[in-house]
Amino acid sequence: MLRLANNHLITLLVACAAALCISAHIAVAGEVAFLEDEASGDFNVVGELRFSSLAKLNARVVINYQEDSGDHYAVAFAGGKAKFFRVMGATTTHIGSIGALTPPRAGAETAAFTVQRRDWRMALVWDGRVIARAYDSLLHDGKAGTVAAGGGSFEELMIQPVGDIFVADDFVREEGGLSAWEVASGKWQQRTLREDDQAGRQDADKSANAFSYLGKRKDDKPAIAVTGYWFWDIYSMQAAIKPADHEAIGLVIYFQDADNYIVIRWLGREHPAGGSLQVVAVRNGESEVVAESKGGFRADQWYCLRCAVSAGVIHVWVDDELRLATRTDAFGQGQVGLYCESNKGAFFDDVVCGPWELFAENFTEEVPGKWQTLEGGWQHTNGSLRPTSNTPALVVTGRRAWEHYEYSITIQPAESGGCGLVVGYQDSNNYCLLRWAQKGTPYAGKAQVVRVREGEEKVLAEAPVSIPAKSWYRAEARLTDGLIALAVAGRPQVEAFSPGLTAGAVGVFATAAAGTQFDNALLQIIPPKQTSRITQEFADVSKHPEMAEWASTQAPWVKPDVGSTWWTKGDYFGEHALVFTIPNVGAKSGNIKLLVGASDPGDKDACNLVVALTSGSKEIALALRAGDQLLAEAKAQVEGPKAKLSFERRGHWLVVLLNDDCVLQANMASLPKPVE
Amino acid sequence: MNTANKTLSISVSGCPSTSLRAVSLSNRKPDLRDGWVFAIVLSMLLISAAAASAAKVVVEAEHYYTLKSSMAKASSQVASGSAYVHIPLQQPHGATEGAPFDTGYALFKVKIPKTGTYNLWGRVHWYDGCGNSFLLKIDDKPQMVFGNDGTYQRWHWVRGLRISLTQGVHTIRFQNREDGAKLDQFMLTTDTRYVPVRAEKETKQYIIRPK
Repeated sequence: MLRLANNHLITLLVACAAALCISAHIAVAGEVAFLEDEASGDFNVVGELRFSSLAKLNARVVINYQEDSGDHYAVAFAGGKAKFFRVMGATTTHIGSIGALTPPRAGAETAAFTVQRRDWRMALVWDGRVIARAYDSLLHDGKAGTVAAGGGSFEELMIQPVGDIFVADDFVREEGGLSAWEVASGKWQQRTLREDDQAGRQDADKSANAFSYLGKRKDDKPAIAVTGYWFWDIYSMQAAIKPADHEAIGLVIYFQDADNYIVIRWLGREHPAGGSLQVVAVRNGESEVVAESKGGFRADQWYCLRCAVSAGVIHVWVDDELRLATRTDAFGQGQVGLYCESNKGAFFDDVVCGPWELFAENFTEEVPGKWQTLEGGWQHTNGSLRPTSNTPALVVTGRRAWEHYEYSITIQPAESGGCGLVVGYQDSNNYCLLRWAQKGTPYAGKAQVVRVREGEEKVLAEAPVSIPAKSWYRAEARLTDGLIALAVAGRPQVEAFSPGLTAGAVGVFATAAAGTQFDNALLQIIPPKQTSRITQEFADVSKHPEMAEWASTQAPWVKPDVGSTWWTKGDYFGEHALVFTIPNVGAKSGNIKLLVGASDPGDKDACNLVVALTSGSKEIALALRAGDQLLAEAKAQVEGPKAKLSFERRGHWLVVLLNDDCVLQANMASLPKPVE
Repeated sequence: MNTANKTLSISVSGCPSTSLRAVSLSNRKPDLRDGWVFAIVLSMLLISAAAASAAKVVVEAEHYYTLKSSMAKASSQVASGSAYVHIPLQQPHGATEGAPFDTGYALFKVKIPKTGTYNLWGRVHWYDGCGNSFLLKIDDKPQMVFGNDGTYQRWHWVRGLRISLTQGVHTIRFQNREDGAKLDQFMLTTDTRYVPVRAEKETKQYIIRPK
């Protein structure tokens, strides 16, 4: 008996060892059949669900399953509906919107699905449509699996990791050369020279980039060329386009196949249908105009067409001007592409598809878990968000990793009480509140920037405010590398600089303001500024002395005839930074003086920074002045041989960063005016 | 104990609900051999089930079999395994799609685990439009261009050709076509749906290195 038991113990061990060694795709733990592949970071679980009746289906997709605790998220397919749940300990919480499960066509017994997991977002794509969304970031990584409890089974399951979305193309390659583009329809050609009036004078090797991609309609089908991958879902896409005539051109997003995609379709001003910009969903070859705005293009002119899609919200820009914004739940993912309906064709160039982040909320549907109430009570009523009482009320949403953004919301204030926006929210004890009130609060008549740190409130800045009660207006907050700014009804109100406050979720606040309504919240990441690129070869001015004046790194500076002061050639408006590296700190003694905002070389009131270096010392002394008036000074130790210094104008603030740490700051708005 | 009709149900991706059944070989009393037979049969069945799933071979570029200059090994904190191979930038950098200046290469020997059609992917970093490709040669097949996409100055995966490979050892050669081209990893997979997006875990068991 013992021998038999031993035999089977050995059998079991060997079987287990074999199973482990071969890494079979699925292991079974409890009722969940786990997928073997890694499900960390952002990922999709993709597969097909086979069912006899959707009403009788009882199945789940489990994601972010924590092996130690069993906590996880689940998408439940039951009772003809799809719902997201968070399971933590013994508590199951419904999060997200509810989607209706419909068969892809009458009598269909399978449907393709994708469960998308992105940091704080989740979405279910069912038969080419996003039917449910959820928002939660408590659980990450872990395992993924399925439960087929009744009425159906899972097939073709796979985990697809999702990384940074990026593709760019300047089409620098020989005609017919291998590329990342797939032709879906029409005729596409790599063109190595321009086709215009100057084409005869063109010489490819003397041009920065004489290459482009030419698309033409063929066989009564528009030209579509695609790139990227099927699982791309949140991105921006742009291309330079030169149409040869008035026929439609555009960008394709969420491409599934030649009969299923979304196209940003732009018609020329001479088009028989009239010039317009459209968002068109093409499903099974049938087109549906989702949104439209008037205005067409001129033929033979280059334009930059850009679109961005995030969680069903599509924005379209022409030459950096926002022209169209709309929503659609079609497809929810797919490749990107170029589009042309013209027989004469259109040239495409400088394609860039990259990451995008946008949060838009119109409060038409209350999605459990999307907004987190921290204080007071809030309710969604008639398409807006409003506090339920006069007690202080605070509600937040979003990612704690959001940084460098602009957050705005429409407000109709009550007759009294305060309201505000929350930015940089990390937890209930650490965030920044921008608040204002006409009456009924201790800060009545003021707008304030309040930093809450470890639960302690500190007013960083305040300014008088005047806002008409009971009328809708827009409030906008900006959080950019420690600079916090508030504008109300289009007018800047108050601004503060708080080093270290760079990222966080957002929210709204109200106190003693039961009638206040909030609507149309929008968060957009501010794109990084484009820096000018110097062609590497032209940096060597000894090789190209004729180019030094305008095409090298020296180009913006005027070389002094006498003395050692270098001035820039042009004026710089708005925010700007003077950035340079001190190569050998401690090698020599001496001072460097930097000036910003000087009206002319003789401007004695210009703001300036003096950097003092001492031979043999790693200490740098910094003094910030307005003319001769000392505003702030500091001494800082440098560890390495180099020191990167950045002297910046941010809003009304002057900021000095040493090796990316803020060492000096001064508010220019509070400076005394020069004596006349 | 009745060892007949032992049934184990497992599911394998792409091969759902495969039922594996181990049946007793005779009516004699079970003994130790039965256990081993059962284990071996089970192992073989599991192995065959696993073999039906996708095969994936991932190679770090610095784990080449031979390296010929001007292809060179270099270090980087952002490369997988902190190293990669590349054709160093020339002075002046090539500015045309002309013939390569030498035949430097990195040659790899890999053990293909099963016969099938494989997608070849490469994790690459291109300098610019004139530093964005290699020549690729597999076994004695004609060499072809690998890359030539327009994503510059960042590591990214590029899909190459689909190729039929038999089980066993194969040679893969990435050769100089343009200076400024870097290779961090390459992957061969029979999974046509899978798209690599991050650095992949190397499958050392399939890589042959010189002793």
